[in-house]
Amino acid sequence: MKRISAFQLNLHKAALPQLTMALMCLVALVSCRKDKPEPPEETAVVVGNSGGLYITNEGNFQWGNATVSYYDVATGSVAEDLFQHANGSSLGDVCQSMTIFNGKGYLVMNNSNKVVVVDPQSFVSTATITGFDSPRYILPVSNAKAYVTDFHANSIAVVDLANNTITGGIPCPSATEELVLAYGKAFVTAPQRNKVYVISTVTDQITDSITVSAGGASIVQDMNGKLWVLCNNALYRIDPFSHGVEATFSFTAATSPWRLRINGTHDMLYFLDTDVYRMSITAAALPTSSFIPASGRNFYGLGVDPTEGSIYVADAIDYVQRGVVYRYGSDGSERANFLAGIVPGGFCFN
Amino acid sequence: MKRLLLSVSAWCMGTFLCGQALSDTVQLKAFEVVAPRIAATLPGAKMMVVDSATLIRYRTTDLGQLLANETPMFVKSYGLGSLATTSFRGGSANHTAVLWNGFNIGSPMNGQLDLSLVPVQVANSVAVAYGSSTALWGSGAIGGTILLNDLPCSNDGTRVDAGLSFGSFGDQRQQFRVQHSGAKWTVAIGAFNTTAENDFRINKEAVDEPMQRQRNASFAQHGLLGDAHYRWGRKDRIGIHAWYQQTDRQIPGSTLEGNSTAGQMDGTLRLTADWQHTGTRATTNARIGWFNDELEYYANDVVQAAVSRSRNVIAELETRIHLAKRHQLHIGVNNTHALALSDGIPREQQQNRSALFAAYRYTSANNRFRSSISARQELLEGDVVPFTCSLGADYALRPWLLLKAQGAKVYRVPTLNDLYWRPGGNPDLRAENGYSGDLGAVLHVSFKGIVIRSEITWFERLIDDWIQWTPGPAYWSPHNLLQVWSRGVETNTSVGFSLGSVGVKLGLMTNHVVSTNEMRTSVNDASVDKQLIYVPMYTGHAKLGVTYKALSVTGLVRYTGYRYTSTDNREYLEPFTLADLWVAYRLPPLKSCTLSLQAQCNNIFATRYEVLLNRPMPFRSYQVGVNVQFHRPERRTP
Repeated sequence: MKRISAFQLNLHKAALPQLTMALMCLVALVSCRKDKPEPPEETAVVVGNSGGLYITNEGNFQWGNATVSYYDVATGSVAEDLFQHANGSSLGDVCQSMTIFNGKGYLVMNNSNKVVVVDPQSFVSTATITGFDSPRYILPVSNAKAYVTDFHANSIAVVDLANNTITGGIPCPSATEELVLAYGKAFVTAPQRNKVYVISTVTDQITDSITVSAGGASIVQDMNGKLWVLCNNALYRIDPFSHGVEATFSFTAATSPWRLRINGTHDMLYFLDTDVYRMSITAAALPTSSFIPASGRNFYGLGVDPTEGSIYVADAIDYVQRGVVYRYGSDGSERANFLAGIVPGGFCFN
Repeated sequence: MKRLLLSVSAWCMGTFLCGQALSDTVQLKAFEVVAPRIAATLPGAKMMVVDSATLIRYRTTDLGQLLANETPMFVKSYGLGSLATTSFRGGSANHTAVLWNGFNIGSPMNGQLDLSLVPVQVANSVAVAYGSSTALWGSGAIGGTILLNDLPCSNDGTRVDAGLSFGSFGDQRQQFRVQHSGAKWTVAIGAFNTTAENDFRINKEAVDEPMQRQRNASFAQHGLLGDAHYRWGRKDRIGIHAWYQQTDRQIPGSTLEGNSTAGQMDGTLRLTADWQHTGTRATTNARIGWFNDELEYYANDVVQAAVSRSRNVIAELETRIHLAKRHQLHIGVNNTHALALSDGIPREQQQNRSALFAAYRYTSANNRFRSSISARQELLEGDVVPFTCSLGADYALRPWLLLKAQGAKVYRVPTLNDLYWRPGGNPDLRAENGYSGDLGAVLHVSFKGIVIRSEITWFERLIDDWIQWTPGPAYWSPHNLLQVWSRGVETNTSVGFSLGSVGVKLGLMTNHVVSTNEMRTSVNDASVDKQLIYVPMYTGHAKLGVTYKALSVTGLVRYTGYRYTSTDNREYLEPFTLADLWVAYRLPPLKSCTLSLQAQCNNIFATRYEVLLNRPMPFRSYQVGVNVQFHRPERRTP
């Protein structure tokens, strides 16, 4: 230990400052970064005004980071995470869809296995409907009753909208996705079984099923009352009375079209297939060129403003950061873009 | 001012280890066996050896808790008893290799190891090697390497060690080990059993808030450990190790998920055999390990469980040759054969990797300069994967100041899941590859009975072809997407002194890690130059240990900074600081028996925190335990 004692002298005299300097330089070589994130900007957005829309941001499965944003078209400003601000708690795990009915907002929380009812203006939660397995979409079929499709349960839940409780289930052979109401019947897609189920909203029973092809998850109704179902390899037009397939438009290339939407006048179809495509309901063939090219963006959500006609497209980027939503005019020109939440997937128009 | 603060913090930095500086009672007898490789003494390498006193403290816990509390590793824990993986120096879980007796025990399917399934008891020596050592250990040893060794002793007589503990949330642990060690034979058998409900409170007790408890989080684990060693002559030893364990646990959902009913069963059998021959000029080791993992995951009672099976067979031959007085050569071959079958890999898939590695060491005549060069070439299914090599050196500038430098070329081959998972597996993936470097200084002084050891390290690492799973049109698929630049400064300082019969140990450890993606993956990608998710930029540990006669008290405070939960760093989790207290008392020995009592309080200030988003961790918890040790030394025949 003699060496150490010899060192003591050194340390006290000269070595200490030198060494400190050396270490300082070393530390300074790597610039210290600020890790505290900037607080989000407060925006004065009037939620639920006439010219605006809700964006449901799914968030990541099992992370519980779903949010709903509101976009005010006139000012171009966005209010983020409405639910957290209004209720002081997180919305939940995977917000699959939002539907406004009779002045109430219904948020279908897929992996929280619940439907949250909110006031569309204040976003204060007024009720929670629980007991679902993996709910996807809600369709009010009367003032008192709604259907909720489910990804796991082989059953469509029947919900009492007055009490906000599940009152029963419609047994189905498989999982169900999007659904529409037409002429007193609910038409429900069942992508795993290549079917569209027809349900009587009076008896709450499947009365018929229409065979389509695999992956048919989205369904819309046009101005003539016809139903359109988009499957992995074809687009079908279905007669709502005879339940027969009237027209089949087959995709030739190996594509994955999805998210079929229709405009407010119910005469123009829109869907995603990497790019955004659109097709008139009277067209004789599928569109050959895209309407809005993705150009390296990851188009995940699609919506068409029923009154104003703007097309909203969401880029989910890498699914682990806030997505970008684009607003296009009905001519396909970009009007605006803004940041939404994580995995923006759905649009709900006020 | 900022610089001043930095230099001050650089001075206050710390490590808790440091066997040299602080006289821990090393209970392990002098080993005549050498740990695999020579990583521990590789010039330029930074190592942190968990001291034996600390190891005893964590004997009944899992490796995840030990590493989170005592090392600079960030452990991504889903909760008590739940999945725990590491992030070290800004890497992902795949970038930390876990080696048990020299064998990589990471799953060949996902390249990771769930640290909550590794009882600390499986090793009597735990060390963490910082930085890249792929030249020594092969694929994946990029951010760091966890070295678990169960080293045998000899002529130690008979030891029996039995422990029992009870803790909050229905935590009960029992552990037992008996060992006999003679001149020729050493035989040991151990068993452990842990059960816990883990039904901790997930919200604070408040008048207006109904109390909620964590649900579906129970944990049950039992296992057997055995090893036997036989020596003959003065030069040869053979040994076998066996590690069997069964874990049955429920998997809690996040606070925002619906009721989880999921569960998982993990069955593991690890068998190894090794032979060591110590010649006059060379020491040769041959070892083979057989590792079988079976995992059964069920979402609920109705759905059929998803079963995954994997098997790794690793064979290795290495020899260490003393070429001349100051020159040492180390060469070896390794063959790793992995096999996997699961719901995601419906057809059995195999992967064979062969490697040739060599290291050369030089020590200068005055012992002040040491250097090494090592290289490794691996063949993956007969194809050449990136050549890897490393250079390291240290130089004692002064008796009290050691300078270290290390540089390496690193790689990680894709896992079986990356390649073959259905759907999505991408057989065209390339190996991740890159460079890493460290510069460090170790200050080691003692004056007036105060021993100070302080180490500061600056590291840089750039990895290309970073594999990332991303969603495609129909399913997720891995691609060589990102380029990740990780850099940072780590400090480790310990101070030890005695005041009469009171021994005091102080440790401080700080880590600043910046790990950013440098590659834009699409037009709107805002993740460029942003910190990777779940890599805290700042972490720190402070520890104070006081011993007085047979009583020892240890307090630990650790800080974890912001963790981002989105790649654009807009979403984040708040930092947290936790404090733990541990008290132990050893009763006076009665004949050959020693009884020790310990009590522990975790998260003393009942801090509410989440390591991962919406995965609450327990508030205050307690544990009490008793341990009996019996030792009858070997009778020596004259």
